[in-house]
Amino acid sequence: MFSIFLATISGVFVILSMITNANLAKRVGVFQSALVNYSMGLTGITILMIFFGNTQDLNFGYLTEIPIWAFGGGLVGAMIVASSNVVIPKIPALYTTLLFFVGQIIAGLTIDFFKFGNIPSMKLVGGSLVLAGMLYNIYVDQQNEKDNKKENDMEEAAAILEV
Amino acid sequence: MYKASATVIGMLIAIMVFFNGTLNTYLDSFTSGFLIHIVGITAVIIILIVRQEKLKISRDIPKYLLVGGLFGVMLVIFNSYCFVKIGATMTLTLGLFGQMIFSAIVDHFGLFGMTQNKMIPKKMFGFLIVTAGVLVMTIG
Repeated sequence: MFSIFLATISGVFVILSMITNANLAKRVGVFQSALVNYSMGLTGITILMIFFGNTQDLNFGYLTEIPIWAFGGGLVGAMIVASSNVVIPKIPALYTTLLFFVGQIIAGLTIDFFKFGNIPSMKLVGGSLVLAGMLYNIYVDQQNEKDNKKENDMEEAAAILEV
Repeated sequence: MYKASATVIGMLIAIMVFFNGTLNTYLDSFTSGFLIHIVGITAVIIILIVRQEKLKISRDIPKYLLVGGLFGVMLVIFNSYCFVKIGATMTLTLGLFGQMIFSAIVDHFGLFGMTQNKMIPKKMFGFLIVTAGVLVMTIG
């Protein structure tokens, strides 16, 4: 239950960091924004470690027991920043969320299949519902945009006629 | 083509959570977060050197723009913790659910200097279906 709460709250953090990073990136560019981002994060986490005390026994022998790819998360993160920078401006914003979701669900289910050994059918049913809801809202947004455009056109036409 | 790339980025996000979560099974949350950030900084510095970017970071950047990294830390710690407990699919789905709700709130009220985009009542129906889907996934 606690994990469910934390996982949902982390979505709030995603949006908050996206907003601040996008604004920072306007000034210094995406990669320097990422550099500031990681540096601030590192500072924050160092302070946390000092405050709460570091309980981790860090000896080299133990570190070498960890599979090397498990250290790759930060690298993948940088790849995500770099590729998003190219891809996001090229596709409509409405699709970005949807396609990111599709990719995450496919990879997530695959990872869990290897972690837990099965893919529960409820996850597939629920995932399809999530997708359906997102598609519906994309449709509503598109209709709304069309209506707005029509309204603007009408106003423009009216303005021209008045002149 | 770009749409396929967006799907791949989604997969990369899942893989990142998987890597970070795995590291978290060997090390405590702070230590793994620390190492993840070190690797991230190194990767970004290499990118900056390859692109031969001139450093534009200066003192006149408003301080509130610097807090993004702190949200990032919470994100890494929360995600890794949840991955171990409830797996990749649920961590990611609930995260996206939180994103959807929170961004709707930000748009509706125009928070944090964003342009206000009032919620279209019709979209409540879509949100309801998404919520039902998330509930089914959580129970199942």
